[in-house]
Amino acid sequence: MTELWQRDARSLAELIRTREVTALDVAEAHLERVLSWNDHIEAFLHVEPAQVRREAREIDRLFEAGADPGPLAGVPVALKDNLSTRGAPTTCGSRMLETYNASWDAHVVSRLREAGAVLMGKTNMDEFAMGSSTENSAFGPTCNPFDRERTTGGSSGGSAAAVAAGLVPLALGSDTGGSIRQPAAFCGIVGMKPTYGLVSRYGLVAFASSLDQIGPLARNVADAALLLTVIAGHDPRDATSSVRSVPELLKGGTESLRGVRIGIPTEFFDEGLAPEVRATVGAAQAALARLGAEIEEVSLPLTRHGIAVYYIVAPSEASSNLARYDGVRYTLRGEGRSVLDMYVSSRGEGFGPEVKRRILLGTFALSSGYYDAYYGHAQKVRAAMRAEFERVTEKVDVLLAPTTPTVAFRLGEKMQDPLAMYLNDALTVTANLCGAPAISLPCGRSSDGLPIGLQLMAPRFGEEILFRVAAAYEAEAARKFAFPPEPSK
Amino acid sequence: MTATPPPPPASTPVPPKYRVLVGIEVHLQLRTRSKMFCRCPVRFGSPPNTLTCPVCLGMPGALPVPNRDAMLMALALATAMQCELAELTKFDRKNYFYPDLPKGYQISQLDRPLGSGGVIEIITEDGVRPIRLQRLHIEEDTGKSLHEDAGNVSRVDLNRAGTPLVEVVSEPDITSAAEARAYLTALRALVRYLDISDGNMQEGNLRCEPNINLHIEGPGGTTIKTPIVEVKNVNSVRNVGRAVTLEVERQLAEYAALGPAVADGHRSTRGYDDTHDRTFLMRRKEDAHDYRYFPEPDIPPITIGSAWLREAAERVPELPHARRARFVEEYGLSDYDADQVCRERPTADFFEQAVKAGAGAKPAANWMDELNRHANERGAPLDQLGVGPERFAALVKMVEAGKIAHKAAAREVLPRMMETGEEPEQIVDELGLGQIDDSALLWSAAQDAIDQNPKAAADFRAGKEQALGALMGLVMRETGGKANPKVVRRVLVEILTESDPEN
Ligand SMILES: [Zn+2]
Repeated sequence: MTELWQRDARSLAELIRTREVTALDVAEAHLERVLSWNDHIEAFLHVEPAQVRREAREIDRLFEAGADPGPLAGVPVALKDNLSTRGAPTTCGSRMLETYNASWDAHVVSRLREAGAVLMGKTNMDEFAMGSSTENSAFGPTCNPFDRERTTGGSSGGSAAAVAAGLVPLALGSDTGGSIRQPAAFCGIVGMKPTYGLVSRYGLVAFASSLDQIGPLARNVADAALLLTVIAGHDPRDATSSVRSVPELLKGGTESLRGVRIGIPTEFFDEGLAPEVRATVGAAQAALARLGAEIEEVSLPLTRHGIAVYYIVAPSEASSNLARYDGVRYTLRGEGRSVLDMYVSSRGEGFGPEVKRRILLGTFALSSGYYDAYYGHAQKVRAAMRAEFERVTEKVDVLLAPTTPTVAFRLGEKMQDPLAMYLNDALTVTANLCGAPAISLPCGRSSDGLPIGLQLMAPRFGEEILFRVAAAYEAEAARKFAFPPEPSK
Repeated sequence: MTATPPPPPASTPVPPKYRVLVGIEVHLQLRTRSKMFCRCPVRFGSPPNTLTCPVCLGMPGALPVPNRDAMLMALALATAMQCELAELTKFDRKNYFYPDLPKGYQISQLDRPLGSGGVIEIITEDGVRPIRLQRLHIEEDTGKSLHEDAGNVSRVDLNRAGTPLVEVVSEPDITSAAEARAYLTALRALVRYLDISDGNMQEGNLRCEPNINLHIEGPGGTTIKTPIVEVKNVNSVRNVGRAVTLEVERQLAEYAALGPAVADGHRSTRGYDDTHDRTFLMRRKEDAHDYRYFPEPDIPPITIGSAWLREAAERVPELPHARRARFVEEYGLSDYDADQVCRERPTADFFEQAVKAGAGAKPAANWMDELNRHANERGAPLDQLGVGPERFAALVKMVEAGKIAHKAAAREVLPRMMETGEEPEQIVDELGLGQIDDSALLWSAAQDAIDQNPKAAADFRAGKEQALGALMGLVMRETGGKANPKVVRRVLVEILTESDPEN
C-alpha cells in the first residue's frame, strides 16, 4: 500500500477533496516523517506541529461546510526560511535574524494560504541564500538524504531534502544562481526557476534583486507545475512583477515532441563535466530524440563569462540589500559605545564568513573608481549574454544541459575553497543572468547511487514549452521516484 | 653718509574685486497623499512611527513601488521650469549607513534625472533675471533621529521616511544674497502655483543648501577661485541671504589672510547657526562618503511616454511671470501691484475673480493685502474667509461708487461680512453707514465744519473727545438735522484721523 507521505501533491489533493482522507491525516503522516527524519538531515529549521494541525483541521472544517478551500487544499508545503511568514521565524539561516518573526506574509505565502495549502514549516538554507551546499547556514548544514556524508547542494538545500525524503510533497525555494535547481539535482527531484518577473518577490528576503526568483520543488513535473500555477502572476507590490497572464502549464494530451527543437549548447559540456554526468545527460538527450524532438548543437560563447559576471552582480546587489541589517531595528544587536561601534559589532557577530566575503566583494565592486571596471563592465557583459541567449533561443525551443558538473560533493569538501564552490554554479547562472526559466529533472544515478540532474532552459516566459518537454521526458524515461532508505535508528 | 630709507607707503588695503557665485540645491517635499514607494500617508505631527509599513521601515523582503502621482508632480514642476524631460528615467541607490535610513540606502536618481537644464526667473530690484538650472530629480526622504540630551539614548521616528522629495539644483548663476532670497521666493511661488508642495521652510518641506564661492581678481589679472562651501541648516528665506553674506565675508577674510593660496583649499560643508548668526565647519571634503551609487534593481527604468507628458502639462497652470505680465497688460496694474498680487496663486485667483465680478482692478489689487492679513490672522486660506470674490467685488464697487468710505468698508463692513455672511449693502444699512448715500453732501458738510473750527479739530486730535460735540452740532445744523448722528460722528472721526498731520 502506498503511504500518504509517498503520494504526490495532486494525488493527496484528490484524496482530501473526495474526503477519502482528511487533511489532518495527511498532516499527521508528514509530521511523523519530520519526526523520524529531521534529526538526521536537518531539512527543517522550524516546524510547529500544533500550528500545522490547526491549519489542517481548518481545511477539513471548510470541506465539511461545503466550501472549496482551493487547489492545494490540505497539501503540506515547506517554505525556504527566506520567505516572510506571518507569526513564524524567518531567519534566512542567519544569526542576524535568529529572533526575527515576520508580521506579514510574502506574496507567495498568501497565495499558498488562499490555495488551501498547509504550511509545514521553514527549511534550512545557506545564510541569506549565499552558497551552494547549505553548509553556510548558521544553524548547521542539511545532509543529503541519499548519502548523509554529502551535501544537498544549496542554497535551498532544506527544501530539496524535505521533498526528497518525503517530509513534504512540495516546497518553495529561491534561485539566484542555481539555488533551486542545483539542490534539486543533488537530491533527485524536480526544481524549477521561473522567468524573472513571473512570481512576485514581495516578502522574499532579497539576496540579489535582479536575479532572485521563487520557484517550486517537487518529486515530479506535474506537481511542480501545479505549485508554480498557484504562486505565479502579477503582484502590484513588486515593480518587477510581470503583468502577463500566466501560461497554462501541462494541458495534457500528446507526449510527442515532434517539431520541437532542442539546442545543445556546447559550452555546457566542457572538460569540467564528470563522465557519468555527461553520459547520463547524453542518454536523456537520446530519449528526447526518440520522442521526435529535433536535436541540434548551438553555441553560447558568452556564457563562459557567466560566473565572473554573476560574482560581481550578485555580491554588489547583496552588499546594498544587506545594509538594512544594522542592529537598529529587528536584528541581533551588538554592543557599542557609538552608533558606528554598534554597527560593527552587530554585523560582525550577526553575519557568517561567506556573507561577509560577499558584502566585501560587492562593496569593492561598487566603490568609486572601481565601478566602471567591475559593476559597470559586468552589466554590459550581462546585457550581451542576454542578447546572445535570446538570439539562440529564437532558433530552438529549449536548451538542454546538465544542471551541475558533478553529483553531490562531500560535506566540508569545498568549504575551504570558495572559488571551487562558486564554480558549482557555472551551468545554472546563465538562466538567472538572462532572466530565463529553467528546470532541473532527475535523469539517472551515478555508480554511487547519487542523483544526476538534467537542466532545460527556455526563452523568457517560455514556461509552457519548458514544462511540456520536461513532462514528456519524465514520461518517456518512466523513472519512478525512489525514496532514500530509512535512516538507521 | 647714510640714507634713510623712504617710509613705506601708507597701506590702505584695497578691497579686491570679486564675483559671488552661488548655486542652490533645494529639497522639496511633495504633497502627495501617500509616500514615494509605499502607501503610507504623508502627514506631519503624528505620533512617532505610526505612519509606517514594511516598505518604509525597511523590513526584510519589502519592495518599493514608485508613486505615480509624485512622478507627475515632479514632471509638472520640470515642465514649468522648462527642463528637458527624460524619455527614459531610472532610480538609483545611494548607499550609506545612518539610523534614520532604514534600508541602508536612499532611493534617488543619479544619471538619468527626470529633468535636465531649465530656468527659474527671479525678480530683484534690478528687474527680472533668469537663473539656469542643472537638474531636477526625485528621491525619498529619511526618517528623523531624536537625540535626547540626558542619557545615551537616541530615538528614531520613521514617519517621514519615504516621503517624496524633489531635488532642484541650480547653476551657480546667483550673485548676491538678494538674488538667493529672490530665487527661493520664486521657486516657492512656483511650487505653490503648481500645488505640489507647501514650500514651507520652517516645517522643513522646503530645504535649501547654497553652494557659495568667490572668483577674486588677483594680481596680474589672474582669477582666484575660493573653494566651494556648502551651507546646511538654512531654514528661512532670510537666512539664505545671511548665509551668502556671511560666507562672502568669511571667504574674503580668508583671501586676505592666505592670498592666492586660498584656492588650494578643499570643498567643505558648513552649518548655519541661527542663534549666533554665523556658519561653522561641519566636514571637509576628505570626509566625504563614497555612496556606491548603482541602478535600483527593484524598480525597472520608466519610459516617460506622451500620456505622462500630457497629464503633467495639464497640471501646469498659468505661471507667476506670465500672469504678472498679463495683469499689467489686461488690467493696467503697475509692475509692483502685479507682482504683489501674483506672488501666491490663491491671491491672484481671488483678485481675478473679483475683477471679473465687476470690481475695479486697481482698488481690488489694493484690497488684497487686507484680505491676506485676515487670512493670516485666522490661519485660513483666502477662499475660506466667508467672503467670496463676488461679494467682495460688491463691497469694492460700493466704495468706488462713493457709497461708503474705504476705511469704513475695511474696518467695519468686511469683518462683519466674514463673521455673519451678510451682504455688504445690508451691513451698511444696519450700521447706518448707508446714509452717506446722499452724502457727498454729508462729507463736505463735515469737512466744512472742521475747516471752520480748527481749534475744535486740534483739541480732538489732542485727545479731547468732547471737542467733537461742537463739530457735530455744526454738521447737524447744516444738514437740517437729517443726518444720522452716529454716521456724522464716524465721518468726522474718519476725516480727523485720516488727515491728522501727526500720522
Ligand atoms: Zn510605508
